[in-house]
Amino acid sequence: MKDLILQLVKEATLEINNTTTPAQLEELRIKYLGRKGSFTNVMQNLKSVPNEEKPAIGQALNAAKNELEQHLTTKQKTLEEEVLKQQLSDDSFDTTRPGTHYETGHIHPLSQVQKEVEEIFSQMGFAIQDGPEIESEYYNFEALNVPKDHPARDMQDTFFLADKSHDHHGRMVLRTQTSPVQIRTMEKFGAPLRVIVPGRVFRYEATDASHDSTFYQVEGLLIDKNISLANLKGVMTEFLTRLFKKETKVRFRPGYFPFVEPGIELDMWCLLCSGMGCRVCKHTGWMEFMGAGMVHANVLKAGGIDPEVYQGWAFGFGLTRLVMMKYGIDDIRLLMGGDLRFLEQF
Amino acid sequence: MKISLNWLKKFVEIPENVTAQELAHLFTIRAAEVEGVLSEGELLRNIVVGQITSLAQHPNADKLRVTQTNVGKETLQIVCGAKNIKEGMFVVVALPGSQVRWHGEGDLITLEKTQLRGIDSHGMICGADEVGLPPPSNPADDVPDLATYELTKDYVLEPGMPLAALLNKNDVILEIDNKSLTHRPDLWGHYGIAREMAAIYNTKLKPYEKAVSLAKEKDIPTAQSPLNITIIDKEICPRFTSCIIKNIKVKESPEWLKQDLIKVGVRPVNNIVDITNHVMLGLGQPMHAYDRKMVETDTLEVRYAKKGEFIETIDHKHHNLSEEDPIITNGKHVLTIAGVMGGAYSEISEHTTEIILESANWQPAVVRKASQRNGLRTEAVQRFEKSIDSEMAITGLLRAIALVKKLCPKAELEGGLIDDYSEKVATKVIVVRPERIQQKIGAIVTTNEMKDILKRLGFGVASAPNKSLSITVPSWRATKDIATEDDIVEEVARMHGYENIPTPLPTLPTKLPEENILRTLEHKSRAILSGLLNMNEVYNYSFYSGADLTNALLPNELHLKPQNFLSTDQTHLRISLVPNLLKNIHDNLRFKKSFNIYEIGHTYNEEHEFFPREDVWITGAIVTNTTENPNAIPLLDAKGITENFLQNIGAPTQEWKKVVSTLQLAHPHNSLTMFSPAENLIARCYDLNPLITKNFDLEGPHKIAIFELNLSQLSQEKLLERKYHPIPRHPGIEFDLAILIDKKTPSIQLKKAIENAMPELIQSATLFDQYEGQNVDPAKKSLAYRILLQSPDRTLTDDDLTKAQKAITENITAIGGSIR
Repeated sequence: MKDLILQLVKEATLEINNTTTPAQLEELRIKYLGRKGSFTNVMQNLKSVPNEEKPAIGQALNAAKNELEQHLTTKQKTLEEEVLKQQLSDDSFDTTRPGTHYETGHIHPLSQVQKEVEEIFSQMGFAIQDGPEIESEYYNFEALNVPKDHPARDMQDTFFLADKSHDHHGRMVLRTQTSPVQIRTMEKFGAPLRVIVPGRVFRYEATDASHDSTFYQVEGLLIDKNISLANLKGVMTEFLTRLFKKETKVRFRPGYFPFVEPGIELDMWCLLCSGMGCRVCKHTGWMEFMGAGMVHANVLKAGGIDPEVYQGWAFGFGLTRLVMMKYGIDDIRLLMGGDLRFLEQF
Repeated sequence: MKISLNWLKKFVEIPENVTAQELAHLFTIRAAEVEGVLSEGELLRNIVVGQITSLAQHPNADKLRVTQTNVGKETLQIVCGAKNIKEGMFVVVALPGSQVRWHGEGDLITLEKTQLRGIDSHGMICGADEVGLPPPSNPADDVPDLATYELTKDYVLEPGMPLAALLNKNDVILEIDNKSLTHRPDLWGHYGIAREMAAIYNTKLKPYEKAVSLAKEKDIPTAQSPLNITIIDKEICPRFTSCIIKNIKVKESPEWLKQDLIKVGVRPVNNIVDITNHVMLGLGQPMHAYDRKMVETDTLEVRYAKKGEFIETIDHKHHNLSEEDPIITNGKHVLTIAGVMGGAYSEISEHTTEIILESANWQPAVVRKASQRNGLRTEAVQRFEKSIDSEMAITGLLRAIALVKKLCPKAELEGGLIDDYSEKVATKVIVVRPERIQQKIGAIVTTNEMKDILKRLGFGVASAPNKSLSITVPSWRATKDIATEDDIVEEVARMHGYENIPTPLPTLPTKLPEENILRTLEHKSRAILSGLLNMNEVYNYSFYSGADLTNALLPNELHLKPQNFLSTDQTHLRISLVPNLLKNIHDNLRFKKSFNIYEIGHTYNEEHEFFPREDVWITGAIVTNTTENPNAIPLLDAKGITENFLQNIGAPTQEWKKVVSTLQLAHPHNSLTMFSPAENLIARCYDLNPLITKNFDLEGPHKIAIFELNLSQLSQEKLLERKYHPIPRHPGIEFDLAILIDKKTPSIQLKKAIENAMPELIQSATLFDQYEGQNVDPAKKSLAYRILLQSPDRTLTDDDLTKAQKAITENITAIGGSIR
């Protein structure tokens, strides 16, 4: 009987030593120590052993079982370590394979930049206002100090709508600028006022790579008791610096727009060379950015605001142009073209 | 407008250390934009003296010869067609890279090395007009022989000498942006620009009459002029000055005069016409000269044209005149559209011996309208429409007389001058408050500085009560530009220097801006549709064509139409975003098979009010390729997107309704509409009407569904707040059920039947499969539901499951269904 046990241990140890995987090892555990395993068989044979030999055989049997258990545990640890080592040393995965492609939607670049502009001005306390895209001659021109036959009406070729006219409003037009919303917000809210108006405008103008009949503008209006041209410089410097995420400077030049006096043109540092002068800015260091000025007394009056009490400035810049500058888009028509090969880049 | 620096220097001292670039920059930030600075030398860059060393006949062309021409550094082979070239001759050679005007006509072109009939040519031997020079004394010479040429014969010529240096071309031309002069009628001539420069640099401006010669009193006869001008419509003409000059000899102008004109881009014509142009460019006063003999009479009328009157202008175009066109007439013919353009009939010709000179001022709006109506945008119009100073008229006339007498020494006036000055503008005085000017600029500008600035600009300045200033506006600024205190703010601010104004932020109370709900919703919609639901945003025009709306079965009468449109694609304002979206689909189908797009934009609907109704819609399209996805049902995608969207923004909704849209865009049955609890339409989705699919050329292996969200309406709805629901603490039981039911029974009915069977336990019944076909009765369909049983307060038992299944079976049977 003892021999049988020793034989079994010897056999099992040999088998354990020869295993190479945890699964094989588990099989051995079942084979020798499982409910129907070899040792269980031997235990059953214990009945036939004479009583006096039973304790010694029983002891030997337990010792043998413990020994095997130990072997199995040690071997298992070794095997697990080997497996881990193998897993860790596996360098066969090609990490240059492309990542799984997930289709995502794209927001139009005009919407994206418009949102950015709105957020920056909101943080400076400007409300975002809207106005109708179909306007009257009154709001689009007269109230903005552009009387009939004024040369400035040439500067903005206008779409007129057929067959509709009004004593006060004149004809209906597709707004040529976001400025009519100046009057509408003055009428609605009075002074003081701090608003920007991003929106779609229309010009009756031949289309080419840099001109389109439809584009987007951002109007700004700040009216209070003590607002100066200097503040306009301050606000725009702040805005552009935030938008382009680098130091930016602005400069004023005299400009003419009937709805402001004084009227100015605002240039910003060339995005490429930051004022040093390069090919893009024709070596001036500056890029034209927008028209602006102190709101004309006639415009304040048209909006029902007393120009002796309140004063302020207005500006208007091209959002479409800004988008083109920001992304280096060389053909304005792409923006209204609906071509997904373009839109999916943003 | 082009301005010659040398011409300016006749009127104003410009500090010697100032470069043309600096001058242009300072003028740009003080007065008006200088768009370009061009030196004359630059124009003649790479144009040099060459000497022909040998000549040979061109092998392939009778009229061409092949020269070897020494240009200093090297000898070049140049092919030339000029007949008068010979060996040893000094000629003008334009080297590759130079700019020349081909045969003296058209735009400048940049010369390149080329081949002429198979022979290399490394430049061009130039005719005088090709490089802007006067013609050779022998008009038969194709190219000037520089050894005998008027301008160069006194110099020792050497091959390679730059022509610019040889001809002493040292002028600089400033190109000023006309648009930036819209409000500055005084800057439309060299003298006005010089006046501004004098103010900018604080240097001396020569009085005009000291800088140039004007006709003296002794030159003007005391006898009355035979001219009899009647201004019938007074408002047309604030001032009219005129005179008659006899013994004129019309000929080519002298070189100085021609060069003055050419430099600033005006083509010389003859001495008389050139004089009128020279006065306009110098002083800013447009003029006109008539052939007195052609006019026939000295009795002229200034008035609006009458019906049926017409004119052939000097550009030989016929104009039928309107009753709003200002004219000058001799009673038989219209001689000129006043302030716009003269007539061919009384034009100065080589036969002219007597002229009537006109130096007038015309009413800006009248001139402008006449110019637009007749399509004539002349140099004169550009000036008159800005409201020029009437004081200039007589000065212009005196200057022109002096020039005529200089160029035609025998010329003399017949009688004196005519000066009808009906509308003398009163001297304008403005009272301004220096502290207010300073407050608007936002920089410290002392009263003394203001006074100095204004005086430099020609304003009269006097002290007035309460520390204010009384400002007298000079005549040349008083026509329109300067009228109020704010106009003086501009003068002070720009001359103080915009660059010297600090950049402080305004000190305003912190204030949360009012929210723009619609705008917030627009941005949120993009985040949901593009960010969560894999859709791409497009922008389209607000217009479409008559054909588009017919193809989309939209009613023509609801559309607003622009009176003027740029193309026949843009004749109607959209009442729906769909037609342009369909065109986007058509275009993109060339490159992509399946895609989802949407647009957020306005629609414009004619209303009874004056202003049309504008609504903001989100319109989207789901395009799915049926070859790649045979089981795809885009309408369900559209429905799912809409539901997801509405839930995401918290829209208050009802159940979908099957309302047939009034718009025929939709398939009449495959169409769903969503109303808010207040019965406002907030969304709809539908399959495209197959006729429209056909009309927009969209037939193919794909299906298209549309959804529309009424964002204007949604922005007015009270949106729902999100609420937390406790996470169930007890496990639920999930089981699947396949049900056979009549094909026509809507699935929602089945869902309700299941859910109502035991509402306290059945949490949801979700349709996950639908099958028709083999093994299913052709009149029926098989719907598979996943059903969840769950109780908030206890763990369910097998008994619960059995009861639920029984209840469900009963309900299903009641509506004609059976468990499969």
